[in-house]
Amino acid sequence: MQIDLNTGVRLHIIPSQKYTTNRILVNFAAHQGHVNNAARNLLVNLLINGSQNYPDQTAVARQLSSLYGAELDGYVARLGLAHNVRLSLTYVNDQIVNDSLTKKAVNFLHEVLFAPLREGQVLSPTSWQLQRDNLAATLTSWDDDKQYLAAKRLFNLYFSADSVMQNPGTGTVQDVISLSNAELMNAYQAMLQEDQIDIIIAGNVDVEQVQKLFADWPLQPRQPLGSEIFYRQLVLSKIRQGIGQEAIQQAKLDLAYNFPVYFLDEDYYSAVVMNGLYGASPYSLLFNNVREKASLAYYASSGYRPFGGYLFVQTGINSNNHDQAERLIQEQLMAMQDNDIDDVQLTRIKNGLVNGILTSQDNQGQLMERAVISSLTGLTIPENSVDRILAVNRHQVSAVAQKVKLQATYFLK
Amino acid sequence: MVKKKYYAQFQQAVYQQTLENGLDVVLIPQQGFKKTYAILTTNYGAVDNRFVPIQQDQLVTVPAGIAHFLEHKMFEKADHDAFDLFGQFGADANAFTSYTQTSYQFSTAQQFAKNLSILLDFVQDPYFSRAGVKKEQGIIGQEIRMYNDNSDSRLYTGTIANLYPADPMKNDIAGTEESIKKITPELLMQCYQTFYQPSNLRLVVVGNLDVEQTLGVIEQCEKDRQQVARKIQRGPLIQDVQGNDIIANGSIRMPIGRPKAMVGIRGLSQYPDARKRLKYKLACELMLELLFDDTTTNYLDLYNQQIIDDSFGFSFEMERGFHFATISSDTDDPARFFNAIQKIARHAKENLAKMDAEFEKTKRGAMGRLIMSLNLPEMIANRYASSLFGELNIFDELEILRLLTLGDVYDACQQLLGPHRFTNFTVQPEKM
Repeated sequence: MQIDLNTGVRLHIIPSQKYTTNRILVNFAAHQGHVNNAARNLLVNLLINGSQNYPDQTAVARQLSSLYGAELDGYVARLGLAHNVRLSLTYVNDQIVNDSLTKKAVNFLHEVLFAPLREGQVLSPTSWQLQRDNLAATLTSWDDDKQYLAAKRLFNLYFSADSVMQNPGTGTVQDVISLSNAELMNAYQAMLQEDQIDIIIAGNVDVEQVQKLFADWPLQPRQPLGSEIFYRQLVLSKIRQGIGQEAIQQAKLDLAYNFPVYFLDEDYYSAVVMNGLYGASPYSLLFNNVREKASLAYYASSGYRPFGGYLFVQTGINSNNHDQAERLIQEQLMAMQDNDIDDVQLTRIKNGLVNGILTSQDNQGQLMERAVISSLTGLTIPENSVDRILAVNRHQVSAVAQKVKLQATYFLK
Repeated sequence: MVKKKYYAQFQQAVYQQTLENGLDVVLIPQQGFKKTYAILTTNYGAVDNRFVPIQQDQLVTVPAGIAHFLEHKMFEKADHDAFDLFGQFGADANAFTSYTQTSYQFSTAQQFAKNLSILLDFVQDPYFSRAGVKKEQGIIGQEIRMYNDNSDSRLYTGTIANLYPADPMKNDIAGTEESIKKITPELLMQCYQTFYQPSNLRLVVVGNLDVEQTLGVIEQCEKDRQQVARKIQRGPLIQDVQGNDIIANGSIRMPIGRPKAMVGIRGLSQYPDARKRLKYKLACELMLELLFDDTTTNYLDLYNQQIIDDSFGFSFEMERGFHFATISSDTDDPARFFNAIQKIARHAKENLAKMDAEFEKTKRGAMGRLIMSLNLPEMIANRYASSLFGELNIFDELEILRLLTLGDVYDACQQLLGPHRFTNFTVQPEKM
């Protein structure tokens, strides 16, 4: 059920009796080109770590504890060209603990969002500095994960130099450190006044009560996101190659491909199956032929970004085996392109995807994510998606695999 | 005989039956769910590397990492891979090995009965080939290297190794590249025959299921599998039960940006009764929350002084025969972190005695989180997949937690936080 609270502000209610939890997600979406990712990331960290009535993390945590261990989360997430700031709250459903938790939960989110810690016209400098240092430390520590580091460098090579996608959705450490409080305040005001807002609530909730609770939120009309969020990039004829060295035992070889098949395009389901067959399943070609048969890697997998129009492969290998591994990875793609596809294997891949779709119906978080995506794209996952997956045949897989074009490789050894 | 327990607050029934051959079955049907999750666990893990093989009388010692290796190799059969069967019938399958258990699991919304038979059959039908073992040495060798590059993993294993320097817990669960080279098909079979007998296995199924039908499938699968008469004999797990062998400090260097520090605390008490054991575990967990979680002033002080950051975490782990706590964070100054944690631990008893109000809130939060986890069939099943807590399940846990007092926490504190049970471990960045 979907209700327009105002222009550009939507409330989605997903009622269900079967969960012990209720969940609320507030999604603020803006176009990637117009926002400061680092500021939005720091901002959401600031919001969830203190407010006027709960002035530090401890006070926030105590309030959550008294809401029966409710979980508050705040983070940024990029979906194609949409940059999203997200606040989520998960709590025990009212019936189980016999308490009006929904009302308290919505009021608490209201406080977190609209009553940040301030000093005069700016956000609290103490809290800003503390969260800035912490966020910078967190982002720095991500590079300790060499799998992450290799992928990051791969995408720096893949995205064209002037692309808005060069800037990670989280912002960079440098950006976070150099932010001023004024920039932060601007990001906060712009987010509240200009972003498209989707509020999703799922669980055992009373529709009328929920509608009333959110109707009180001071959210003015604003322009909905409008233009499409799919990111498109031209295919370059020259493959960009990068190499780096770290004191590590296992080398990483990653590849990025242009793959302009977008969410719910005509061949979208073929693309999903193709990605599954290539490397996104333990029954995939990469897993079986690179990891299992050749014993070359502990992990070898592919990922598909249907909002970004690209595909990537990540592997962990022995650094001596670079050439052999790269050749094997390429061969798996070529086999699909040449329609050299085993129907038994294809069936396994499709069954796995179908199982994923069916079991996701038990997952509140995934139902909510779907509502956000549908609101941002105007596209709704069809009821017959299981049939659409099952209907994909090897000729379609082969045809869609031909749209995969290698653009960048990165080797960390 | 099927035993049924009913938990009114959650309108939830739990069914248990021990089959004639000793296999322990627990079924928890959940209304409204599409998914069914099944997990089959042997009470056998990485630390069980000294035992009397089932057809012999002498203790043997097998290479570190063999339980995990065996888990990988269970999927291989003479003419197929069991993993592929799950794929064919639309299930998502996996397996994992911990210190004291090995589990095989699948979840599916399609052809549940068929997948359940596949699970029971493949785990009870060993096939080990020399070529298969050799290939697996390559794959697991890569897995070991991958974990060796992971600084959080090294922080953890380094800490545990110093808490138990004379015991098998000092080894990584996967072993080392050297130790797994010594594994042979014969050794795998010896471990298998000793530890995979039906009376050492438990099957837990949660989610979309019909109790009678499911029991029918299980009985059909198990009808030709006999009970093994002899009890399992393991070598002693812990050399020094007083913990005098704990190494107080340790450190390694890795290519990371910022130091990581972990405090390990080794518990010595033993609780033979399952309910008391669970109660002690819950009391220890609540104690750590009362001392360190983000509702505490301890946490806020450490955070504001930038001794810890958002990476701060703590955990309490109980396994068959041993238990320990860890507290960790990324920090610029590990020495300051260690001093701060030790100081809190030293004053824990006197502070806990005054924490009545906090205790009620913390307990309420812990109960709420446990209730929230009931949404996930795998959470319900995994928490009690092993026989560590006898016949207790997550709903019993909620009841024990509800009845827990501050006095229980105080007692647990006296048991766990004794002197000389601590180790400090650091992962330092490489010198620039």
